Order: sequence, then C-alpha cells, then structure tokens
Amino acid sequence: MPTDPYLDRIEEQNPELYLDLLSSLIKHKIANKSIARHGRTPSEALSTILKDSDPPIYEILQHPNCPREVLEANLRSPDSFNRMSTASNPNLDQSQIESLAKDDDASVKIHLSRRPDLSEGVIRELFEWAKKESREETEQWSSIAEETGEEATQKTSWFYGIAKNPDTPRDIIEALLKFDLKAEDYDGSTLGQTLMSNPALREEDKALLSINGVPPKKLESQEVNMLEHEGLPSSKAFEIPDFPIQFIQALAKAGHPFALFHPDLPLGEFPTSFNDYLDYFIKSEIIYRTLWPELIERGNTKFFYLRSSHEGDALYFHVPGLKLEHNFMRGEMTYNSMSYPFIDRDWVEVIEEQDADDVVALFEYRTIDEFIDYEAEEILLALSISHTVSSNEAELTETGREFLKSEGSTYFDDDVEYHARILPEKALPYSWKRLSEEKRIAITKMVIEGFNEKIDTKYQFAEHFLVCIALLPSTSDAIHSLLEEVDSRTVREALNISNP
Amino acid sequence: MSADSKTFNPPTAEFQAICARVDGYLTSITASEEFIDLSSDNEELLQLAFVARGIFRELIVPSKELVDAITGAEGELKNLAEEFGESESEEDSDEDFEEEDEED
Repeated sequence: MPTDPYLDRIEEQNPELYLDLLSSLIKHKIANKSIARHGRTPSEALSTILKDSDPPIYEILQHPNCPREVLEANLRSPDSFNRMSTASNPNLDQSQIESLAKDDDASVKIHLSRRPDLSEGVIRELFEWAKKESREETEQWSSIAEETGEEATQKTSWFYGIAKNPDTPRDIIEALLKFDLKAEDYDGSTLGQTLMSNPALREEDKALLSINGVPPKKLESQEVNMLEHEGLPSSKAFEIPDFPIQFIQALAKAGHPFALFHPDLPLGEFPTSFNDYLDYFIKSEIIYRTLWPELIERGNTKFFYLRSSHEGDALYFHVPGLKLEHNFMRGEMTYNSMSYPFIDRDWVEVIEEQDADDVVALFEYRTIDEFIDYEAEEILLALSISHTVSSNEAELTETGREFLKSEGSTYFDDDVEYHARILPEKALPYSWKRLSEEKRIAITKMVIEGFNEKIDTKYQFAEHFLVCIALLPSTSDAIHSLLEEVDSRTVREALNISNP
Repeated sequence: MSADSKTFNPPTAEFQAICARVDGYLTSITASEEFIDLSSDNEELLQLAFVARGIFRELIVPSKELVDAITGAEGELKNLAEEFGESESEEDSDEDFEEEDEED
C-alpha cells in the first residue's frame, strides 16, 4: 500500500510529532480518506476516523492496520462493497478467507481470488464457482447473440484473479489455457495476458500463449495510485485553513513542495521542479489560491464557471485585451482553467442567478434549427427576441427581461456559463501579496524553468501561471523583468496590459 | 439597461395591428406538420415573425428598423402561412378522401 513520503520522513525522525500531526489532521473531514489510504496510518487513527458520521469505510477495510474487530464485523456486512473491501484486506486469516469464499456475491469472490495467500482448497473452490458462472453466462450470452446476430464469445471475467495467482495449481492453469484466451476482462486485458503475467507460468505455456497471439511482455500495471489520486494527507494539511503552524513547519522541513507557497514559512531549500509537482499544485489548488484571487483587484477581471455535462465543469477568468485559449474537454486538465477535480470550494462562489443579459448571451450562437425539436414556442420566441436585442434592434421591456430569464433557466441548466465570485479571504493563507519578494521571485523562476522545458501540455500550464503573475497588481518590476525574457505571446500580452 | 432608461416611441396602433396579424400567421405556421421541415428554409422570416410576437406580447420595444422589417415582411409571412395552411388542408382532404373510399 502506498505511503505519504513526507509523513514517512517525519515519522522516521520524530514518531511522536508524526502521531500528533495525524491526530490533528483527523479532525478535518477533508483529510480522512487520504489518511485511510496512507499505508502507515496506525490502527488507533483508523478507529478514530471510523467514529466519524460518514467514514471512508472501504479504504479503512482495505488498510493493513484496519482493526481486527472491524474486519470481523464486516465479513457479514449487509453491504457487498464492505465485504468486497474486506476481501482485499491483506491481513485476513484463513478462516476469514474461507468464510468470504462462500459469499453469495460474485464481486466479493472475484476480489478474494486476487489474494496472494489463498490455500489450494480455496483456489479450487473459487475455480469451480468461476467455471459454473462462466458456463451459465456464456450460455445466456450465446442465446442473446443468436437473436441479435452478434458473435458469441466466452465469458471469463471470474477467472482473472485465479489466472494471476502464482499459487494456482497446475491442473487449473492447464484448464484455464483451454478457455478463450482473447476474452477481455473489465479493464481490457485478455485472459491470455493475465495468465502471461502469472510469475509461476511455465516457459512452454508462455510459448503456447505466444502462438495464440498473446503478447509475450508482461502488461504494464494500470493500477492507479489511489493515495496520489486522493491527495497526500500531508498536502491536505496545507489546504486546511489555520492548520497548526508547527506541523506545517515540520512538513516544510520534510521537503513538502507546497511550503514554497506558504507565506508564513521562510524560503529555505526547496526541491522544486515545476513539472514534477505540477499535478499536485493543480489538484490541491494551492497555486490557484495563490495566483487568482488578487486578479480581482485589477477591476476588470471577470471569473466564470462553466457547467456542462458534455465538457465537464470549469472555472476561468477573462481580462479584456487578453486572449486565453479555452478547449474544455471532460476529464482533461485545461491549462487556462481550473477543471480538476471540480468540487465546492470556500474561496469560489458560483452566482447561479442569471440576468437577462447573460441569457441573451446564452442564445447568441444558436439558431432556430437547434431549438426546433423542443417543440416549445416559448423557446423560439426567447431565441428570436434575444437575437434582436443582442443586435441592438430592440430593447427588452421589464416583462421581456423576466420572460427571457425564465425561459433561459428552463432550457439552459446545462452548458451554462455562470459568473463566479472569488473570495480572497477564504483562499488564505495563500496570497501573492502576502508572499515575500524572495519567494515570489523563486516561484516565478521555477515556473519559467517549467515553461522553458516545454514538456507536453505542462508548459502551457506554466504559461498560464506566468500570465497570472504578469497580471497581478502587486508583482514587482524585478519580476516583470524576468517575465520579459519569456518567449510567449500571451505572457507579452499580459505584460502589455499591466504596463501599458 | 431597461426599456425605461431610454426613450422609445411606443409602437403605433397600426404597427400593433400588423404584429397581431403576424402573430396569427405564426400560429398557423407553427401548427403545421411541415413547420419543422420547412423552418430552416425560412429561418430569417420566422425569426421576424417571432419578434413580432414578442412585440405583440409587449416583451420588446422595437427600433424603427425592426418596425420597417416586420411591416415589409407581413405579406411574405401571410403567403407562408397560406402555403403551410394549404399543404395542411391538402393532406386533410387526401385523408378524408381515403376514408370515404374505405367506407365505399
């Protein structure tokens, strides 16, 4: 199970401080899931988290330090996800494993079959069950395929854990080799590829698999590091307002990259490569909390929030005279907007109330044809009058404004751009103004370095942050001089706007 | 900016009458089964008709250009309404005819 490297360093140097830091973090709900995903969280801390009203139970049940009584109680939990998570816990004893092998739920058995500590008896029991399930589903699928004219394929998803297990007995491996080796599991890998990844597989079996078109190389693990996905617990400490400074200082000493953005810490040594830490900076929003709020002091910066089921949600700003490219795509991080992971946050308020001018803008690029299928005359009327208003051929009456607002909110609850209000006081302690000039220069240099490395889309994120730095009213002339050396049209535009 | 903040000449009674008539034409056009198919060919004209409906319902105060455009398009909209209406009634009469045949 992955661990938080910064917490590990503190634990190694000062175990007492580590426990105090964990106890302090546990008090904050936003940190609980990531603490439960940190592989070295002690049993007591997990028990404390369990007392919460809505604890991250799946994570706790999979944790190697999950209290034994909690595991025992969840062997027969009415929630199959709890039993599935229990089946993945590395510290089950054989009687607990045997109990789960008799579970009625297929997913519980599949999770159990992936364990490296199964007895031969349990493997055989799970294989017999998997064979039965496979036969039944394949038969069912064949009759459907016959009716629909599709090609019938063998269903083999239940075998993948057993196929991967080095302890699987020889006769079962031989039986598995006779199944459809090209049948795909949920993650897209085939039964043949899964067998190939079994370290106990004989050379002659590998040769047979190769002849059958299975790639000889072991598949790259597609497992996601859930700890990184959730955010390190130590990173959560930097996100929590007023988190005790002694812990923040300890994390800074352990080399946490967010220390660079904390105004109450000295510059010190920072091991910071912008491109290495970009994902953390973005996901934790520390960099946005530092660079965005004071843009409102410019007076002409407007923030927007796009809500779209197709493109995903995004938060971004507009400054007159500056062209920031936007290419919103669901699941993609876009460099001129904050799009991942989009959750409610204290420092941003979305203004959902639209005024008539906003609604006119919503209609602006659409045609009658696009709306005709709604079969509602009101929407066509609203479309027509808003086009006429936006081309200045008419003026809305008060009744007209109300009509347009009501039609707009009925039809545009998706793909809508709302105004957003940034609350700088809620973004604290992060603030460009509050940082020392020494730190501001260090951050600017780090981002410039990241930009100059020109890696993937990372340099475009760097460009965005350099644009922000150029636009911020409190950026000094010394930093402007650094930015003038950057080879970017957008950064130059931002500098021109700041120093006309 | 609301209508109250600018001085507009209120639409004349004559223009109100035009809008009322256009509103009627629009009703027959949108009621027609052909409406969805033919709307893209007449998009601009239909838009004007909807604007006239907006004026008739006192949702917008038109500019002089808009008054001229709607006044100028009234004849065309009337023709369009008749066209839509005719195709509708032709279909109806066909159906009636078929029904009569069946009865025979």
